[in-house]
Amino acid sequence: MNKLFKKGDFILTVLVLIICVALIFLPKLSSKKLIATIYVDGTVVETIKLDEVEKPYTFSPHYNVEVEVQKGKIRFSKSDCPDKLCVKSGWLETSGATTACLPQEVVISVTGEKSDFDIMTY
Amino acid sequence: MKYHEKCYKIYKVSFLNNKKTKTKKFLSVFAVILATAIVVSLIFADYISSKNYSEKTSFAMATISTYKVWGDDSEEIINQIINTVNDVEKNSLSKYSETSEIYKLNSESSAQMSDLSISWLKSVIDVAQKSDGAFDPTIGALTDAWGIGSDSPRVPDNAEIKKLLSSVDYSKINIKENTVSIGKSQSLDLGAVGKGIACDIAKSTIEKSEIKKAIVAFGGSILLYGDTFDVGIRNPLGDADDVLGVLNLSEGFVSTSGNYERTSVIDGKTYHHILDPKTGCPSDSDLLSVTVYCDNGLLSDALSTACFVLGKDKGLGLLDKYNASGVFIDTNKNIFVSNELQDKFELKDTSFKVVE
Amino acid sequence: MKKKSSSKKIATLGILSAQALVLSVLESFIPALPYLPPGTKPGLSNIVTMFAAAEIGLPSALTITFIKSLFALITRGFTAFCMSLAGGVLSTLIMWALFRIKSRPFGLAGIGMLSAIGHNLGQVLMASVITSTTSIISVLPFLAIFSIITGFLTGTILKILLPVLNKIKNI
Repeated sequence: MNKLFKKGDFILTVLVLIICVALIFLPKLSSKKLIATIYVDGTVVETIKLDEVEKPYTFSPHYNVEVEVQKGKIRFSKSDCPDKLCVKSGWLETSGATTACLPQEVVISVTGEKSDFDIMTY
Repeated sequence: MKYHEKCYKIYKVSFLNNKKTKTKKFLSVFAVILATAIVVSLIFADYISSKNYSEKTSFAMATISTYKVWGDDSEEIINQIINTVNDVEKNSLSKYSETSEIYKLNSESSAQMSDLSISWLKSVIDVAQKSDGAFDPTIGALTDAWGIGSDSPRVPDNAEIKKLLSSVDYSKINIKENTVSIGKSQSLDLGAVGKGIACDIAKSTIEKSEIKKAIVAFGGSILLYGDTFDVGIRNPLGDADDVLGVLNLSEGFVSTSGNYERTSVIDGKTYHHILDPKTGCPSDSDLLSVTVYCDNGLLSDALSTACFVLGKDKGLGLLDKYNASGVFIDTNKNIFVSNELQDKFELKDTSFKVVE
Repeated sequence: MKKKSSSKKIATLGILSAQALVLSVLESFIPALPYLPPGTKPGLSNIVTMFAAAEIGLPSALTITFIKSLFALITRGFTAFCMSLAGGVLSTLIMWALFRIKSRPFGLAGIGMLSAIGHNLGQVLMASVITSTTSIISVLPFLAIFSIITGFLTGTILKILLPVLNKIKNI
């Protein structure tokens, strides 16, 4: 019926790989300051500068969902959703890391903020 | 033919028969392997390059310390710096640790001090002299009496201030070889330049290593090593992460003294913690903050305090004597930038004005 | 092509759908993989869908897809239903369209890969709609790289299983 491999497959694979690797590494080139943004139903409810977190803490951005924040990382710690895929995602600690609790419509997204400066004096 | 034999036959036919298919098949498989290898090595390279950089935030010299170090062994160097600084704090500078040289000096009015401590002391006395007493390391007892920033701040009455002022006199510090002696009622405090000293320690630790580039900060005192960096100056009227302007600086040291660092509200009035050694009260030179840039950590710390007390004009004069430069921000939101820094300073908050 | 009676058609679809479901269930035992959203699977059930899209027709392929989604609805809930449907429909459409191109530039491995990427794209878009945010799209590059491997796998297994599937089709 059909051949398994054709010339098009070869080109396609390489193309897809290049595009994906570029998409993954491009945002990482900017400076490391991490910011976690939490959306509930499309609206930003919390913005957390993960690098500045001193003591770990938890909070509930939406009923039935609990988020835990530590220095440099964030995760869903508890959820009442049936499959708990959000909790199973574990810690988000790199720029671009994103996870969501779909039934509850809560999304945690981590981005790297490009800073104006390398260090601050005060 | 059995089912699995059928499958194998089809597999053979499609994969192994035709030479042309074979080449195409080989090419495609090779492409996938090559692409995978590229992806894996890129991920590996990302991992490796992140190994060559370490970042850490810790607590040292009674303040938050931040480390950004580039190079192999960056993590080790950071730990070395932390340990050395903690040792110095405990054995030389601490006012409370019994093993500390300063503690011994203050309790017995005389003590043997290490060469390093003596050199620090001499630098500090030099700044006291050149600033005409605007910075005085013997102000400790007075600072403690006010207790600004502590749990029990208070406004001492005039009689108490007068009495304590009588022991504020850097000229009474006597150094003979390694023996330091001070007046009976005097109290020496090198902690005021502790953050700057920590930066100097960081630099000498890094110099002995293979590290070529680093930023180390103790509170607002910063060591810039091996490259040019952008240093943000905090808006004295804003939050802790509010940037007023950015200085683009090559290797050196930066320190800032501000009226927002440590404050206490007593009877509705806000007092800051930088005392004027002449009046015995929080200085009122109309400055919100001063940022100093020079080639020594201890100096940057001492000079920023001295300039804050002296005010803009005398402060700029003092900085000249040390070949240092600075940024002065006054209560009218005017910013004065030393000549050498003018093309390195970028204002971010336009509610402030840079004045020539 | 012989005209099949409708009951035979239903029987064929039934068997194929059952195979797709079994593959889905087996896949669900695979644990969450690092760097990828939990719930990411090799998509082996797409072998069946791809066969249907190639050899039977679009309506049949979409029926199998829909049955898979119904199964997700029953076992995992409404959200899972939406996700499965979005990914499945997009994936099936892509497969069918690719098989219709006369010049056939891509082999089974390539079609498998593109349909896997389509599946992920559909799911990510649906997730964006459910949560009303766009940030979830950032997982796409990671999913796409994974799709290269799974697409290749799907295409290969399909090639091997062709005679078996053809037998079912020719009931």
